[in-house]
Amino acid sequence: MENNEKLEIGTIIPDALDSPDKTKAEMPNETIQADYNDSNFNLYIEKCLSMVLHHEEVQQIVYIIKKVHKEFNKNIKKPNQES
Amino acid sequence: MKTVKSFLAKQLNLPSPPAIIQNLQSRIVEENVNNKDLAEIIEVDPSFTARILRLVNSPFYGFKGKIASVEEAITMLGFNTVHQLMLTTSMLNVIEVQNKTIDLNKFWLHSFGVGIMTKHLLCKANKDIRNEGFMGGILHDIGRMIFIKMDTNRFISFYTKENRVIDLKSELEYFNIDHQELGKALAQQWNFPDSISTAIAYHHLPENTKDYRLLASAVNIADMLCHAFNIGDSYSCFVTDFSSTAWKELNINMDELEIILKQALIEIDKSKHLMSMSN
Repeated sequence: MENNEKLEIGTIIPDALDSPDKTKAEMPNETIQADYNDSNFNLYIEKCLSMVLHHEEVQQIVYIIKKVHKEFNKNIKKPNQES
Repeated sequence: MKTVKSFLAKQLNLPSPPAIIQNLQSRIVEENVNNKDLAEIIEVDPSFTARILRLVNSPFYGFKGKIASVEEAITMLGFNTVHQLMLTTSMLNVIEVQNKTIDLNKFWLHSFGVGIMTKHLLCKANKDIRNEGFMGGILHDIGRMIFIKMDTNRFISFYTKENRVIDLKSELEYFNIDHQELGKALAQQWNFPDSISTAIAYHHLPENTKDYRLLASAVNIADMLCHAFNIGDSYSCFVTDFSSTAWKELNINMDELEIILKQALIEIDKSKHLMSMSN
């Protein structure tokens, strides 16, 4: 694949989810909308956050996703591949 | 089921498996057929042989270029896996759609991403189930690809219209069938094992099946994770609701999930060049 077709793993989780213990009340929705342009992706995030309300597991999963995403970009992606 | 058959008969000319697959499927039911016999059937077709060897030597299976013949591939992976691999690659090849409006690379990236993620989520299952999960993950949205092949403009109109609610019910109303049922019908027509057609049929609602629930659950969670990581694109903003049943079925804790995600992302990244099956 060409460079411009590289795996794109977007920044997906708002900072409010830095801790898996945070609750929906602490998550600023306007930040999410400001950070992401793709409408489909916004919908996913909204859905994801709404799921957090009801499922503690999802909150933990989202936290792990964000953690792995950060480490993946730091360790795997080369500097000139940053998107 | 009658509706599905009627739909397939009237509106689709679903592709049949290639002759080599049909020949293989007729031979495997015979007694005394051995790996060498089956390998000879496959090796009649050089492109099939090349595709099989390319995949078995890929990071998907971890043999790192050590398998040099189809017979060896059957010995190492087992015939069922090689057979499913042939079915999957030939189906992707037949279904392949040439279209400039839709970036199918993103579609395949999502499909293979889900396949790889499913395989890693099934790390506690045996090798056969992991391999079935890999195939089921790759093919989970094959019904959607048929929608594209059938009528690309209709597909785009449905999936990209703003404010449209996109779920299985709205797909059913618009296309007379949803992509799960359509994918299942195609998998059955090609004689995929029930495990894989069930995973395709229930990847959005794994709690609705008693059979092969682990497999359907793994594809469901893998699909959610790949959407979360923005791996490829399945051309739908339809997001599966989180299924506690599916998650519990996997029996994975958060420490294990972290390891699984790291391994899966590395494998997806390494395997990007294999994700265009027609090349």
